[in-house]
Amino acid sequence: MANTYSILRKPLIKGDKSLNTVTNDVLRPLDRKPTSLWWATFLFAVSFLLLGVIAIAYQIKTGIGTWGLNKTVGWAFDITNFVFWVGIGHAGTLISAILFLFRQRWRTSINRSAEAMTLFAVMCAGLFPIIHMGRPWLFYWIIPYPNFRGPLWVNFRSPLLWDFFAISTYFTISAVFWYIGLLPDWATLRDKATSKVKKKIYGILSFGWKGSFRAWHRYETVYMLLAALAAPLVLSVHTIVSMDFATSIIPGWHTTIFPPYFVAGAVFSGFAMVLTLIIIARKVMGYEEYITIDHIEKMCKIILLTGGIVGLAYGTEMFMAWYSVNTYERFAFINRALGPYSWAYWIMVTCNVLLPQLLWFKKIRRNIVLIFIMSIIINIGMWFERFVIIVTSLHRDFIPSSWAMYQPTLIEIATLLGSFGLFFTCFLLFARFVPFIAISEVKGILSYARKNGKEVKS
Amino acid sequence: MSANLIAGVFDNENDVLHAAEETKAQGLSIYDIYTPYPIHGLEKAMDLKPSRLTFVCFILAFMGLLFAILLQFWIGSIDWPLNVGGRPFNSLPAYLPVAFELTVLFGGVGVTLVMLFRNKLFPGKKSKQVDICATDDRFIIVVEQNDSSVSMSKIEEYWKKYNPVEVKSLDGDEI
Amino acid sequence: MGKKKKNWKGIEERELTPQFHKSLESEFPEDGIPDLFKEESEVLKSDLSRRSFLKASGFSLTSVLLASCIERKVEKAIPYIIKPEAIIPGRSYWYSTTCGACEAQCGILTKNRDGRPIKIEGNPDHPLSKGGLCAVGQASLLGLYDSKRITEPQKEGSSSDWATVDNEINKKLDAITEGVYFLTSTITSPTTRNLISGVVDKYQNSGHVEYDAVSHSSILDSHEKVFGNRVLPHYRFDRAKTIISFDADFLGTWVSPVEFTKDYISGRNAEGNPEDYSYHVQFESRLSLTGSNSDKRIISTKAEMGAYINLLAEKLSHKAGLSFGNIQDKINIDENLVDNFAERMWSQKGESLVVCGINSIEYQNVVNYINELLGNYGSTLDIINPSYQTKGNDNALADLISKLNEGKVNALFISGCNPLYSLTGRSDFMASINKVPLKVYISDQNDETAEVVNYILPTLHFLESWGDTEPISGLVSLYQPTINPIGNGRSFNESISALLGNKIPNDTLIKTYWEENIYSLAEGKTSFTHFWSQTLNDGYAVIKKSEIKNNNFDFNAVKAANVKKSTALGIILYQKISMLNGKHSYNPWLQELPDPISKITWGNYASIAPKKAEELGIAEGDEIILTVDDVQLKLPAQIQVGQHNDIVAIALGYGTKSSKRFSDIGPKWLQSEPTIIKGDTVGSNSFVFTSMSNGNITYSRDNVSIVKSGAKMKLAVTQTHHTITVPENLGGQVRDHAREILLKDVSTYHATSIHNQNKQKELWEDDFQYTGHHWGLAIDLNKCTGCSSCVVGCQVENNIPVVGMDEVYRRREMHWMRIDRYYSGDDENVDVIYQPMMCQHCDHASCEVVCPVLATVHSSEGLNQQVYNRCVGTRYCANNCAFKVRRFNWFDYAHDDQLANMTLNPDVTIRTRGIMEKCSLCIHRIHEAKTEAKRKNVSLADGDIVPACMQSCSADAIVFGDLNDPNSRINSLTKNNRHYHLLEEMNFRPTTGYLAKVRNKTGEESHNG
Repeated sequence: MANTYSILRKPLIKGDKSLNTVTNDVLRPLDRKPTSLWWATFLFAVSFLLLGVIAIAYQIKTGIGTWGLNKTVGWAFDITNFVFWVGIGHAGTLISAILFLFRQRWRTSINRSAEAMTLFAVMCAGLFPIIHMGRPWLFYWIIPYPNFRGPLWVNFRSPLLWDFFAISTYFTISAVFWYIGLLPDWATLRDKATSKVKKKIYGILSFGWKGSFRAWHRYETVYMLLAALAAPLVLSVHTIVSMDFATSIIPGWHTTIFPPYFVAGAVFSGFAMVLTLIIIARKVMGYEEYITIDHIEKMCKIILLTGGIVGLAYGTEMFMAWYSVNTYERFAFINRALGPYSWAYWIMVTCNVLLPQLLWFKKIRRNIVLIFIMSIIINIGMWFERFVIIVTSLHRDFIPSSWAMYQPTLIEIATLLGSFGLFFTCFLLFARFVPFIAISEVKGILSYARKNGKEVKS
Repeated sequence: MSANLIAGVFDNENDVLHAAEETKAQGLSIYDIYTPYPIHGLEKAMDLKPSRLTFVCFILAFMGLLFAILLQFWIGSIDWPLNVGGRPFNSLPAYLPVAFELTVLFGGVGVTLVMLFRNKLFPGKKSKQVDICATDDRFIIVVEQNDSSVSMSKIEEYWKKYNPVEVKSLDGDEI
Repeated sequence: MGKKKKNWKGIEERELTPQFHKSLESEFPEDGIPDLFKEESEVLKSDLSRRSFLKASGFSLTSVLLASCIERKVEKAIPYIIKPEAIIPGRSYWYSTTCGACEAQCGILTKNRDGRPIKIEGNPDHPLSKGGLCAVGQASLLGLYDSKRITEPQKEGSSSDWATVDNEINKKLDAITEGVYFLTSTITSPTTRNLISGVVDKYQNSGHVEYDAVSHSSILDSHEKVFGNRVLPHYRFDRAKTIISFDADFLGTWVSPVEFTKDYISGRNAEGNPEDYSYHVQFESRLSLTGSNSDKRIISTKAEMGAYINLLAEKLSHKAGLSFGNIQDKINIDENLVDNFAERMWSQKGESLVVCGINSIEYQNVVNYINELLGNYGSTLDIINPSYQTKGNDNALADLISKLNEGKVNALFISGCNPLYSLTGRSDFMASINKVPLKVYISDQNDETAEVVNYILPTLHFLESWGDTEPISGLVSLYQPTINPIGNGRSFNESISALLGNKIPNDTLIKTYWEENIYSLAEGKTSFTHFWSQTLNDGYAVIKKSEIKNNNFDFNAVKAANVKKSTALGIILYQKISMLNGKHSYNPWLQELPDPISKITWGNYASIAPKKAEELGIAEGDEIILTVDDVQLKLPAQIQVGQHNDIVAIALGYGTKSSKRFSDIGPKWLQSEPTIIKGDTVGSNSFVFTSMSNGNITYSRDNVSIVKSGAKMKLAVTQTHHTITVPENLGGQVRDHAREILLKDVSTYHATSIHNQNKQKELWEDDFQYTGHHWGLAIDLNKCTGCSSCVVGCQVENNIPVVGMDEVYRRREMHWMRIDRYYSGDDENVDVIYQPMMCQHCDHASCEVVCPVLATVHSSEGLNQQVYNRCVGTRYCANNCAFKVRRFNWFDYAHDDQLANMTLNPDVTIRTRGIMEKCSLCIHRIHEAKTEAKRKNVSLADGDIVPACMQSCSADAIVFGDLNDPNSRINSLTKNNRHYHLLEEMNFRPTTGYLAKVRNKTGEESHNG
């Protein structure tokens, strides 16, 4: 890493930075009192969270009947939200693991926040499979634990069970990965801390890290190993989520294309969400020089790519439906595009395929405002993708007599808002109390394309 | 340990790297180096072998895999064989997702714990530091002064050209 | 259940009921049991099995309890503090009795558990119903446990006691010398009839008026006119090769639907000789159940039907060399159609049947004329041994009403009918009823009539009282109490005998009457006792027919019905199979039973033809106001295909007072809406549109005007897509779930050839060979008439909750089995096919694989089982079920009516909130039969196990059996070339199969043959 200076390369971090300034820059927001803006957003998020809590409590007390589901459409908002949040959760690990393996150094300024986002998203996601049960208080029955009810185990053939393993593993590994990355920064915080209390707390959190190179040596190995494990994991998770549908028999679900299609979609939406978050964060927390316009552009490129894959998947689905000469399959897709839920389908296509094409233009990729709007559009689009896949496939399947329509109830909408509340509450707390940028990692790439810490204008 | 330690504090990754190499070249044994972020090359200067954690990780992951497969086969065909949708008792394809997840879980979590153990890192551990700046912007080489032939001044001289911020001696129980 | 249902209550009834044994010791005869053996071996030439012994001794206890009930002390039928030695808890005991739900009087068996009836089933041995039972019959069980019944004598609206009311009424009667009238529904009970006349004869110008809310009076009047006797012919649809029905819904609601269904189906055997396959033509202006099963439907207004009848008569009279007289104002109708029918029927003299459901003597005259010319009397219509299933006399009613107006009626006893509801069309009646000083209502229904009368003498439900009946000449059957009366009611007979001053117990009344009048007609019975026991045991007795002497057909009496064509919109009123004339509107099971055609539950609606609706700019669910003269009615509009363009069809039987109770049915939550607003009724009373035209009650009106109120009304529909074809704009392919073929193709057809050209290869060898039993179901779509009694049967058997209108509207009805109804063809000329649908019990079930907690797994006998207490309610199984037969408990459905809970079947769990449920193929019945066989140490025979749906099916369309048993009925059916499985290409391997529907049509008539 030493002497990597070359006029050909542009530095990843802007401005004249010494190691010490990096530390101070990153830690500044943690030291100062929370701004009124932070309070405002925080209270807003918390109120949504409360709304969600009330809705869920009411639903569990009264029954799933308080959702708009019926004998034909057994899943709708619940699983839509679940898949949506899992999808969001993919960006973090992807950035921290896959980009790490690809030696994408620019990842260092965003991986901390992206991973945090992943954890919170997966928390939101994990909520839905539990509350969507008719008897959520028995959700632990899907865990294969030895019991005294005679041999009584779970069904390892059920994709829902795979889900449980996938999601819980994903959450654990992501959490571990994230925390390991945090250790050196906790140490920095500890050593920078002035008050005794803080010293104590950070002391505990940092596990007594002191930057010994022997530790660094093993640390790096493990970090690399975790990355190597998390990379296939992140792919497997959405693959398995997609199997909830792919392994079923419902026309429009029963498709082999789902795993890659879902993974691409997940990354697509995940990056969009990361953009939404960091575009605000970098401004509010003054990280423009760390999370630069180049970062945003790079992410836009990834979005463009994954968005392309998603679009391709839509096309392929349609083609295969026609090519299969299977009446049910064909109908399922015609019904998506022209049936009673076509509005949802076309929202999905517009948001996920058509509009993202604008990202081919550098001007747009580097226009913060546009990108911010775009990221929100994509999130909406991806939510609708899941809604379309789940509801339009279910509501008109094999036997025409059972065809039915679905519409959400207030409780369902409140629950969705609640999950956003939970997500943003967590994220705001994170931004407040945890180094938003991986200090030690940024320091590691600080000298990249610099002479003695000075940015060289070329 | 009785032997005194001599610490050199640097403020630049290149300096500490070269200083370390120099130190090694002089046949001195480096006790440890404290840096705010990992610097590649130091492992040579400290001649650390590549970590065996990779192997540990493989073993753990493999155990995870084995556990998952055996558990599922045992439940599926020995402990509680049931006719589920006319599918065979042992349907390996259906068992793979869980098997994979457990592999990753065991490997990942396991190796992390081992690493923390080997580094003696755990919540609430007291850390004695030469200089708390080592987690901010200072790079510290600590050399063992095990025979009198190596004097403080000598070491200072080796390090001179790498403009150390300071060179100080400290006794073993300080870290 | 066949033989198992033979029971011996009858004998012990005689032996032990104290009314017959003055002395105490004989109430507990030490020689009772040996006697019983003797009797039994005599009566039922079969040796006594342990089971029948248990039943016998079981009964002896029940009867003792029944006896003890006479002095109204004990309320509980069987207190289990000390287990009665002869009753085995958890074992069901069967009583054979008669269904009192309507006047058709089908023979039934009641299943008693722990002293209470929990299910009503058709009696397989009964000559009329032959084991069939309609939806209403099945559901009438709930009437017994109706907590809102009147159980105490009422005096001017407040509870009283029997002594007082009897004394007061008798005092009042003593003061009266004339003008005592009985207004009752058709009385099929000879005893009751005798008692009533006993009362009536005591007074001058008094009478007994029989009045049916939905009257067939004209049929009887017409026969009186042409044959001299006021009789209802006994129709024999099984003997008819050609059936022409003018608006007679004989498979659904007309006279005796169950009996007719049995006969009708027996004449339509797809495997038999195509020549013998009956040809059924239905003239009607709305799409009725019967019409939906017909081979040819001619959509025509009442007037047009009249024209058709006239023309047919004319054509036939030509063939017969008679002249039919001139037909006034002809309406242009399809002449050569009539020619064909005339030709056809003339060639099959005596083998055709023309029936007419229009209550107009003019029409009926001509129809009788036609039947006479075709020589159908004596073959397909029997008037020598006529039917007594309906006797209502509109003329008698008319002059009762005039008497009321003149104030000539001093005492009016009303029973079995609810005139204050069903005569709302007769404003003169409503006005004059209060002129009667003494109005007594002998009924347990707290309905409209109950509000205006001075006294109410609560009667008993037919399951808790004795009774007798003579539905057709030569067939008598008995009612016997199956439970100790709930509350303080008193049988109709007893109440009347009280009027005669002597309080004789009901069964004595009946017995004495039988001893004097019926027994003499019974042949080859050693003693009356013997005859009585035999009858009680069988539930019926065939006696000597009372041969009626009829005059020769009076051709002069018949002249062409004059038909006046009206261009304006008209209304026709009809009965639904669930609600009939409203007598059972208290019954939630029936309220929530989807109409077989419209699939709508909870309430009636105005059905309008699509073209007309478009004209008027009316959409489904619009609230419309119908006005005829000064009468108005608010109803939701429903667009109904296959209906005449100038006709609005409205169901009778709704808007009753007793339906007010449903205001708080169904789960309540944030966005739930009540089934009806408090104080409101379910649907509206369309009897207001009934009118009188030349002596008969008319159920149609002309010149109706329709106005949209602008409001929207909810229609709780259980099926919203009505064809087997997907919408045109979405591809419009036809799906092959409900298959149909032409009669001529039956022999050459192979239902499964489509898929079996290349059999599916298995990925893995089959781990599960079903070596023992392998249960399966075969459903013959050609037999299913859509009558829906299986749906109710299933609901009663499996404790399926009623969820209320809002939940049905949200598509969350809980019925385990449904009947899918698909239309084909265009709006006018529409074909209908019914497809009963329940869990298909696939051997490769897609629902089982996806359950994370193994809450649904496959049994070793090929049953797809749902484990309620393991289910966590992910609903994944329901999503992954291609047939969408799984039902989820969205809420905790109320079971707080303790009395209504008495209907709950103890063999079936009550499901809690948040779990999945579905058809179990009545697994509890399978186990019952198995244990029985094990106990008897014999192997299960085919037909030992009868699931509720199969049992209830009047058309024998559903057959359950062991696929592994080579000689089972189901096995022969699965080999039938019409047999196929749904979604065969998906390789679910369902054990439920269907037999394609057969259409007796020519190629060009058929829509998707």
